[in-house]
Amino acid sequence: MDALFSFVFRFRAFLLFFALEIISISLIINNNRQQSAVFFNTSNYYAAQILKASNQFNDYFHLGDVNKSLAAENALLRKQFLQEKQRNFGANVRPVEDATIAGKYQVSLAKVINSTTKNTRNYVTIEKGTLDGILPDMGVISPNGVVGRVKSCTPHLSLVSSALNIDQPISAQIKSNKYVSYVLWDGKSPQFAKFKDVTKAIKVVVGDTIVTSGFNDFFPEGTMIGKVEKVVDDKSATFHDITVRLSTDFNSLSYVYVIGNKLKLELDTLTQQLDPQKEKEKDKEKEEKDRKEKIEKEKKNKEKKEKEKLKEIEKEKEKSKPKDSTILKNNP
Amino acid sequence: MNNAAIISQIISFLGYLFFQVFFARHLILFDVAFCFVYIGFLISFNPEISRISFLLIAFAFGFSTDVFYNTLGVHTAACVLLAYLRPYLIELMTEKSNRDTVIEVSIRRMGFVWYSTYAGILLFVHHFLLFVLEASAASLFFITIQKIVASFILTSIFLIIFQYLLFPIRKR
Repeated sequence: MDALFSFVFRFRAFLLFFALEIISISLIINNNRQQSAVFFNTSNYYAAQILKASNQFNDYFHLGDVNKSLAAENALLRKQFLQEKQRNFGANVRPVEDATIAGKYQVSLAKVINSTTKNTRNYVTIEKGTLDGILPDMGVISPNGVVGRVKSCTPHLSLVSSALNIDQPISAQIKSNKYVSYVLWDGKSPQFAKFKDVTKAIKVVVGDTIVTSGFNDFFPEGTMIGKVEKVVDDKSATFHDITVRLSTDFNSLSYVYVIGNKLKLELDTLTQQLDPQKEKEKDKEKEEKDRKEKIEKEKKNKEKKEKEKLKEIEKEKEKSKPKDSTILKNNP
Repeated sequence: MNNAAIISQIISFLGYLFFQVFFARHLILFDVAFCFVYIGFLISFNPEISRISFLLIAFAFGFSTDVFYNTLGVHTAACVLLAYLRPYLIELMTEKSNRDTVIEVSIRRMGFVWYSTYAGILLFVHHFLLFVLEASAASLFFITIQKIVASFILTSIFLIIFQYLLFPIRKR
């Protein structure tokens, strides 16, 4: 035992170093997962207060750009609104819309207080949280296009893992021919991403618009992602090598919209019902629960029996005791 | 360490962190050169401190930097490695007879050549582990090497400027 203690004492610095490294690597692994509630990041309340102060100063330099992009978006919305008005003008019969499906997206505006673009996994911190109805896995878009997906929330702030993340593909399609694949960032320039796994049978032209597909429930179908910048065809490769110029300028994000899908819960339950593997897992979980419950019940029964036995023994003892006392009383 | 030294170290802890979060964090040149001047705190820390407590301080320092970078664990791991290697490097680079005289790690005390070799080795180790952990993907090999070299150059320039600002050489 003494030898062990002296060994630990001699190598205490190395052992501590080793332990600290293990802790930090487990932190990294935990942090890189898509779904992880980590509280030590910029969505932490105190960290956010400091960043806000820093951001308020930077805001003044971006005011012009923000104004321009908001005005452009306003103009676009007004144009669409007028077009819609014209279309319905004079029409007595209108298509009946299902209100729940037409209004399934809930949009909330949020201010960006921190945004990185130069790491391999980039995050945007926004100033809205669970108290404003923001939940993990909601989509986030800017006036120009896709931004990312909410990763974790605190009551007043949320952390968004942006499209500039080498681990996060976004389901996308070519606007003109609806060919569906996915966009993934390659970790190099914050302006470009790759449109992956497009077979050579599909014709892709420089300038084609890439938008989100309807196969994900984070973004509304047809949200702008970017335009094809370059198509390189290697003879040995089976797929096109397509570079997309992202329409969102991640360096000057100031305001973003968080998109909540009200029907997401229903969709999830539907897909879960349809997914046989998950059902099997659920069945397994149930079986395990049942087993555990049985074991616990048996344990409890045993304990009860033991207690009863103990009580009986005690009773017997008590029965024998009074006799003794009576004998004692009788004796004198 | 006496009380005054402890207080001055706490102030420099906060000072370096503040500078890193407010200024150096935004200073990225050509998309590859990052400025991680915050490790000047660990490099020029009082060398009389015990290894155990220095490891713990480095852990806390790396962790608080990570909070602002959203890269939990990456800076922590790099800082802890730096803190573990530092005492060995100081031992290696000073002769046995002079070992007790190392009471301040700075250009003023140790000379430019000694300091730049010492800081350069630690800086490179730190940056190497930092960017490898941050990328954690083999496909990013070349860009990671670019980032390591570019950031190494930028950070060492800043460290040397900091040295002349914080430990001014008095003219006799």
